[in-house]
Amino acid sequence: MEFLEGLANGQFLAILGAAIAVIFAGMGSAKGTSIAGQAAAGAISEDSSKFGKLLVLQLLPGTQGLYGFIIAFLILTKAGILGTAVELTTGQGFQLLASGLAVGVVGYISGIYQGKAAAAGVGIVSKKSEELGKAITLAAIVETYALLGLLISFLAYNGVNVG
Amino acid sequence: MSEEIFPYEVSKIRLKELNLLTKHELENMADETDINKIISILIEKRYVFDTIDKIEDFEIVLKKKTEKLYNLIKELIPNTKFANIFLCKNDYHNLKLILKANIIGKDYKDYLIDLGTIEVSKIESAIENKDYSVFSEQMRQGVQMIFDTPEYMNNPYIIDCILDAKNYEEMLSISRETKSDFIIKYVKRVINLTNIKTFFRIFRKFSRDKKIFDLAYIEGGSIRKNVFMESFSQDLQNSKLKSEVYKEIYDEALYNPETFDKFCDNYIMSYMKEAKLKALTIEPIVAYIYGKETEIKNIRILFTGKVNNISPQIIKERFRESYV
Repeated sequence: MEFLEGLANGQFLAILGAAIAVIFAGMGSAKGTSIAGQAAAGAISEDSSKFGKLLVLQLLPGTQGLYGFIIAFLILTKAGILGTAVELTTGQGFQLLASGLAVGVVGYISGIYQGKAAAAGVGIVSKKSEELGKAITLAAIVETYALLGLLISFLAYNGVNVG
Repeated sequence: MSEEIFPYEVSKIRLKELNLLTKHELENMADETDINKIISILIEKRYVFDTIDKIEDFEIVLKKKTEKLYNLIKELIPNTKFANIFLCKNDYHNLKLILKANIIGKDYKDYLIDLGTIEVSKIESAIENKDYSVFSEQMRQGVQMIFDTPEYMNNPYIIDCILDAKNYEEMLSISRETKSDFIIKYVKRVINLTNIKTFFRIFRKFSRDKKIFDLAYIEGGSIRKNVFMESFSQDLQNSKLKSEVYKEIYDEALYNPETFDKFCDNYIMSYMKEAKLKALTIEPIVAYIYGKETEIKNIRILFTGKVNNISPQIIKERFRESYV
């Protein structure tokens, strides 16, 4: 019984929301940068002069993890885990949890797909170094959806009134 | 289900593609009269000529390059089953030489290719001791079929037919294990073309001998054996086979038999070029291997032509389509 009450605790739910934001978005970025990094390593093994250009492509899928971290930080602050302590109701806890979902889920999926797009871009840059801009643009399109996830998470977070 | 991706391997291959010879470069080399200039172009493309003193020994250079290619496959895709799709043909080549040498008694050692999946010495001792445990299932079946067909003593072409068929059946079996549609389709296309090639050869040169075709037919293609068998007793202009094969392929086999091998190679190459649109999956790796093998074949055509003073025009006509 005590365990179930603990689950309904507002602060616990807020921490869960922050964790979802940071874990899933971070996983997406880890997978994405790994795919792009492997592709870059394959190209660098043949031509090490391309390192600088390929590093930019590898970094692109890394932003999702950062977005997840920002939302998690904001949730923890509003929940009183960081900074001034506040009292959270169960409802408010659920609201903060839900606000972390958008950036977590979209970050996970978009991170992987952006990694694939960036890895494909490595193929372009491998053959034509001057086409780096096009390779970045193609991979950056995927970023739009990670940004939309971040925006919705932020708006939802912002709409939760506590204290 | 999502396909397996190979980001490291494909990127590496994309850079290696830059060293493949283009059609234009090949044609320029065919026109070149100074062999040293040809060699310097090939050195730029990472061919190593240090090991030979005279150009007639170019096979050593090509063998080294082929060896390097196969080592690259093994390094990139440690799953040896995948590499065996390309390597097993060397086992069958060696086995054919050894079996034929037993009949003709000619020295074959210079023609062996030590790039297969089974060491040459093991193949030799397997035949000598009649212990085929080192062979694959298909190789064992092939050897058994040969010994069950005594006619092979008078017609070594039977050995080629049976072992080629078993070679492709083994390739198909390995390609199914890779679960890659691209590889399976590649092997099936090769099987179809080889069956068509064999049909026309037997029709023209072996008096429509259905028994030989029965041994040479490769299972696994899209054209059933009975279509070929029925076509043996029909006119080539109106055969049942004609209705089962693309007109472009059938007409080429019917009207241009001397260039049909080249047509088949180019046909497969056009399929391989589809891999250029793939970014991360296995297709570009397979296509590169095929592209490199084709390039080595083209350089063999080039040097054979140059050594034998064949005109540049004829050399160019014999070139296969390049991957890049």
